[in-house]
Amino acid sequence: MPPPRSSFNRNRVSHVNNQNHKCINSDFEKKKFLKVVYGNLDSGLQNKKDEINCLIQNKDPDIMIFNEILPKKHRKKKKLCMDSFNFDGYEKYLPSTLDGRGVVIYYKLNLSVSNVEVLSGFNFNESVWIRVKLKDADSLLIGNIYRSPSSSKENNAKTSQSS
Amino acid sequence: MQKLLSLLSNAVGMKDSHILVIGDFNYGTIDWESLQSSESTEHCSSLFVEHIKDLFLYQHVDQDTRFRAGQVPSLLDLLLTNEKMYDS
Repeated sequence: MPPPRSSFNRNRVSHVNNQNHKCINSDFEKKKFLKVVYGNLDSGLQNKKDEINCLIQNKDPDIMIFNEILPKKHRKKKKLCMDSFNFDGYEKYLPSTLDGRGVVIYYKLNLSVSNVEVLSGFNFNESVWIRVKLKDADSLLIGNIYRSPSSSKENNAKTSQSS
Repeated sequence: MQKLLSLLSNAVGMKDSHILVIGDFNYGTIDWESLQSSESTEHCSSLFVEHIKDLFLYQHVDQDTRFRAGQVPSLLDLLLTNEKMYDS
Protein backbone atom coordinates (compact mmCIF):
# COMPACT_ATOMS: atom_id res chain seq x y z
CA MET A 1 0.00 0.00 0.00
CA PRO A 2 1.36 3.44 -0.83
CA PRO A 3 1.80 5.75 2.14
CA PRO A 4 -1.10 8.03 3.01
CA ARG A 5 -1.01 11.44 1.47
CA SER A 6 1.20 13.74 3.45
CA SER A 7 0.95 17.46 3.15
CA PHE A 8 4.65 18.00 3.29
CA ASN A 9 5.22 15.62 0.43
CA ARG A 10 3.77 18.44 -1.52
CA ASN A 11 5.85 21.20 -0.01
CA ARG A 12 8.30 23.04 -2.12
CA VAL A 13 10.86 25.53 -0.99
CA SER A 14 11.48 28.33 -3.40
CA HIS A 15 14.05 31.04 -3.50
CA VAL A 16 13.32 34.34 -5.14
CA ASN A 17 16.43 36.18 -6.15
CA ASN A 18 16.82 39.34 -4.15
CA GLN A 19 20.42 40.05 -5.04
CA ASN A 20 19.93 43.61 -6.17
CA HIS A 21 16.92 44.45 -4.16
CA LYS A 22 16.47 47.01 -1.44
CA CYS A 23 15.88 45.65 1.96
CA ILE A 24 13.31 46.70 4.46
CA ASN A 25 15.57 46.55 7.52
CA SER A 26 19.11 45.60 8.37
CA ASP A 27 18.33 41.91 8.76
CA PHE A 28 16.60 41.77 5.47
CA GLU A 29 19.34 43.82 3.78
CA LYS A 30 21.79 41.00 4.25
CA LYS A 31 19.57 38.58 2.39
CA LYS A 32 20.03 37.70 -1.24
CA PHE A 33 16.95 35.52 -1.33
CA LEU A 34 13.47 35.33 -0.02
CA LYS A 35 12.68 31.86 1.22
CA VAL A 36 9.16 30.80 0.27
CA VAL A 37 7.50 27.62 1.48
CA TYR A 38 4.36 26.16 -0.02
CA GLY A 39 2.17 23.40 1.33
CA ASN A 40 -1.14 21.82 0.52
CA LEU A 41 -2.38 21.00 4.02
CA ASP A 42 -5.10 18.61 2.85
CA SER A 43 -6.71 18.00 6.24
CA GLY A 44 -6.68 21.60 7.44
CA LEU A 45 -4.28 23.89 9.23
CA GLN A 46 -5.29 22.97 12.75
CA ASN A 47 -3.90 19.49 12.29
CA LYS A 48 -0.62 20.82 10.90
CA LYS A 49 0.34 23.52 13.40
CA ASP A 50 3.09 21.45 15.01
CA GLU A 51 4.54 20.54 11.62
CA ILE A 52 4.47 24.17 10.54
CA ASN A 53 6.18 25.30 13.75
CA CYS A 54 8.91 22.74 13.06
CA LEU A 55 9.12 24.03 9.52
CA ILE A 56 9.57 27.58 10.83
CA GLN A 57 12.33 26.45 13.18
CA ASN A 58 14.15 24.40 10.57
CA LYS A 59 13.67 26.45 7.42
CA ASP A 60 13.06 29.96 8.75
CA PRO A 61 10.92 30.89 5.74
CA ASP A 62 10.19 34.50 4.87
CA ILE A 63 6.88 33.60 3.31
CA MET A 64 4.61 30.60 3.83
CA ILE A 65 1.86 29.77 1.38
CA PHE A 66 -0.78 27.21 2.32
CA ASN A 67 -3.99 26.00 0.81
CA GLU A 68 -6.64 23.52 1.93
CA ILE A 69 -6.29 25.12 5.37
CA LEU A 70 -9.87 24.27 6.36
CA PRO A 71 -11.07 20.79 7.19
CA LYS A 72 -13.10 18.97 4.62
CA LYS A 73 -16.22 18.67 6.72
CA HIS A 74 -18.10 21.92 6.63
CA ARG A 75 -19.52 21.61 10.11
CA LYS A 76 -16.05 21.88 11.59
CA LYS A 77 -15.31 25.18 9.91
CA LYS A 78 -17.67 27.06 12.19
CA LYS A 79 -15.70 25.99 15.22
CA LEU A 80 -12.42 27.37 13.98
CA CYS A 81 -11.00 30.41 15.74
CA MET A 82 -8.96 32.81 13.65
CA ASP A 83 -6.32 32.98 16.41
CA SER A 84 -5.45 29.39 15.66
CA PHE A 85 -4.19 30.51 12.28
CA ASN A 86 -1.39 32.65 13.77
CA PHE A 87 2.34 31.95 14.03
CA ASP A 88 4.82 34.02 16.06
CA GLY A 89 6.75 36.49 13.94
CA TYR A 90 4.38 36.27 11.01
CA GLU A 91 1.46 38.27 9.74
CA LYS A 92 -1.03 36.81 7.31
CA TYR A 93 -3.47 37.57 4.55
CA LEU A 94 -6.64 35.58 4.11
CA PRO A 95 -9.45 36.16 1.63
CA SER A 96 -12.22 38.34 3.03
CA THR A 97 -14.47 35.29 3.10
CA LEU A 98 -13.05 32.02 4.29
CA ASP A 99 -14.92 29.50 2.26
CA GLY A 100 -14.18 26.37 0.32
CA ARG A 101 -10.92 24.77 1.47
CA GLY A 102 -9.19 28.04 2.32
CA VAL A 103 -5.99 29.78 1.20
CA VAL A 104 -3.55 31.89 3.21
CA ILE A 105 -0.19 33.63 2.85
CA TYR A 106 2.01 34.25 5.91
CA TYR A 107 4.91 36.69 5.77
CA LYS A 108 7.58 37.79 8.18
CA LEU A 109 6.94 41.05 9.94
CA ASN A 110 10.19 42.57 8.65
CA LEU A 111 8.90 42.51 5.07
CA SER A 112 6.99 45.36 3.50
CA VAL A 113 3.89 43.60 2.28
CA SER A 114 0.50 44.74 1.06
CA ASN A 115 -2.64 42.91 0.04
CA VAL A 116 -3.45 43.21 -3.67
CA GLU A 117 -7.17 43.78 -3.29
CA VAL A 118 -7.93 43.93 -6.99
CA LEU A 119 -6.70 40.36 -7.37
CA SER A 120 -7.67 38.94 -3.97
CA GLY A 121 -11.18 40.27 -4.48
CA PHE A 122 -11.38 38.95 -8.03
CA ASN A 123 -14.38 36.77 -8.70
CA PHE A 124 -12.38 33.58 -8.60
CA ASN A 125 -12.84 31.13 -5.81
CA GLU A 126 -10.24 30.86 -4.15
CA SER A 127 -7.07 32.98 -4.19
CA VAL A 128 -5.13 35.54 -2.18
CA TRP A 129 -2.47 37.92 -3.49
CA ILE A 130 0.24 40.02 -1.85
CA ARG A 131 2.93 42.38 -3.04
CA VAL A 132 6.37 42.45 -1.44
CA LYS A 133 8.27 45.70 -1.87
CA LEU A 134 11.81 45.20 -3.06
CA LYS A 135 14.54 47.61 -4.14
CA ASP A 136 13.49 50.91 -5.72
CA ALA A 137 10.46 50.25 -7.91
CA ASP A 138 10.90 46.49 -7.92
CA SER A 139 8.22 44.36 -6.39
CA LEU A 140 7.30 40.71 -6.06
CA LEU A 141 3.69 39.77 -6.70
CA ILE A 142 2.74 36.51 -4.97
CA GLY A 143 -0.48 34.65 -5.62
CA ASN A 144 -1.83 31.60 -3.87
CA ILE A 145 -4.48 29.82 -5.91
CA TYR A 146 -6.67 26.86 -5.05
CA ARG A 147 -8.80 25.52 -7.85
CA SER A 148 -10.92 22.71 -6.49
CA PRO A 149 -11.49 19.68 -8.71
CA SER A 150 -15.15 20.68 -9.02
CA SER A 151 -14.56 24.39 -9.49
CA SER A 152 -14.20 24.36 -13.26
CA LYS A 153 -17.90 23.98 -13.89
CA GLU A 154 -18.72 26.57 -11.27
CA ASN A 155 -16.23 29.14 -12.55
CA ASN A 156 -17.15 28.45 -16.15
CA ALA A 157 -20.79 29.00 -15.26
CA LYS A 158 -19.94 32.33 -13.62
CA THR A 159 -18.02 33.30 -16.72
CA SER A 160 -20.88 32.42 -19.01
CA GLN A 161 -23.26 34.49 -16.94
CA SER A 162 -20.98 37.50 -16.93
CA SER A 163 -20.05 37.40 -20.60
CA MET B 1 -12.62 32.97 -20.89
CA GLN B 2 -12.52 31.33 -17.52
CA LYS B 3 -12.18 33.36 -14.35
CA LEU B 4 -8.86 31.76 -13.60
CA LEU B 5 -7.41 32.82 -16.93
CA SER B 6 -8.68 36.37 -16.41
CA LEU B 7 -7.21 36.39 -12.92
CA LEU B 8 -3.78 35.40 -14.21
CA SER B 9 -3.98 37.95 -17.03
CA ASN B 10 -4.78 40.65 -14.51
CA ALA B 11 -1.91 39.52 -12.29
CA VAL B 12 0.60 39.73 -15.13
CA GLY B 13 -0.91 43.07 -16.12
CA MET B 14 0.01 44.53 -12.73
CA LYS B 15 3.53 44.88 -14.15
CA ASP B 16 5.37 43.79 -11.03
CA SER B 17 9.02 43.07 -11.76
CA HIS B 18 8.70 39.60 -10.26
CA ILE B 19 5.70 37.28 -10.21
CA LEU B 20 5.31 34.08 -8.21
CA VAL B 21 2.05 32.15 -8.40
CA ILE B 22 1.75 28.95 -6.39
CA GLY B 23 -1.18 26.69 -5.78
CA ASP B 24 -3.21 23.58 -6.35
CA PHE B 25 -4.69 23.90 -9.82
CA ASN B 26 -6.07 20.38 -10.17
CA TYR B 27 -5.13 20.03 -13.82
CA GLY B 28 -3.99 16.44 -13.93
CA THR B 29 -3.86 16.01 -17.69
CA ILE B 30 -1.16 18.54 -18.53
CA ASP B 31 2.31 17.36 -19.49
CA TRP B 32 4.45 20.25 -18.31
CA GLU B 33 7.49 19.09 -20.24
CA SER B 34 5.78 19.30 -23.61
CA LEU B 35 3.34 21.98 -22.40
CA GLN B 36 0.36 20.07 -23.74
CA SER B 37 -2.80 18.61 -22.28
CA SER B 38 -3.99 15.14 -23.21
CA GLU B 39 -7.52 16.53 -23.39
CA SER B 40 -9.08 18.22 -26.41
CA THR B 41 -8.07 21.74 -27.39
CA GLU B 42 -11.35 23.05 -25.99
CA HIS B 43 -10.86 21.45 -22.58
CA CYS B 44 -10.16 23.81 -19.68
CA SER B 45 -6.74 22.23 -19.07
CA SER B 46 -5.74 22.87 -22.71
CA LEU B 47 -6.95 26.45 -22.49
CA PHE B 48 -5.04 26.89 -19.25
CA VAL B 49 -1.69 25.68 -20.53
CA GLU B 50 -2.07 27.75 -23.71
CA HIS B 51 -2.82 30.79 -21.57
CA ILE B 52 0.27 30.20 -19.46
CA LYS B 53 2.33 30.24 -22.63
CA ASP B 54 0.59 33.36 -23.92
CA LEU B 55 1.39 35.16 -20.65
CA PHE B 56 5.06 34.10 -20.83
CA LEU B 57 4.79 32.40 -17.47
CA TYR B 58 7.07 29.49 -16.64
CA GLN B 59 5.95 26.44 -14.68
CA HIS B 60 8.72 24.90 -12.58
CA VAL B 61 7.34 21.82 -10.80
CA ASP B 62 8.57 18.68 -12.57
CA GLN B 63 7.49 15.92 -10.19
CA ASP B 64 4.14 14.52 -9.15
CA THR B 65 2.69 16.25 -6.10
CA ARG B 66 -0.34 14.14 -5.24
CA PHE B 67 -0.18 10.53 -4.14
CA ARG B 68 -3.22 8.50 -3.19
CA ALA B 69 -3.63 4.78 -2.62
CA GLY B 70 -5.02 3.12 -5.70
CA GLN B 71 -4.62 6.20 -7.87
CA VAL B 72 -2.02 7.25 -10.39
CA PRO B 73 0.19 10.01 -8.92
CA SER B 74 -0.38 13.37 -10.52
CA LEU B 75 1.17 16.81 -10.78
CA LEU B 76 -1.48 19.21 -9.48
CA ASP B 77 0.51 21.81 -7.53
CA LEU B 78 2.16 24.37 -9.76
CA LEU B 79 4.77 27.08 -9.35
CA LEU B 80 4.58 29.81 -11.97
CA THR B 81 6.97 32.72 -12.42
CA ASN B 82 7.66 35.34 -15.06
CA GLU B 83 11.32 34.37 -15.08
CA LYS B 84 12.77 31.36 -16.81
CA MET B 85 15.86 31.05 -14.68
CA TYR B 86 14.92 29.65 -11.34
CA ASP B 87 16.86 28.41 -8.35
CA SER B 88 14.90 25.73 -6.52
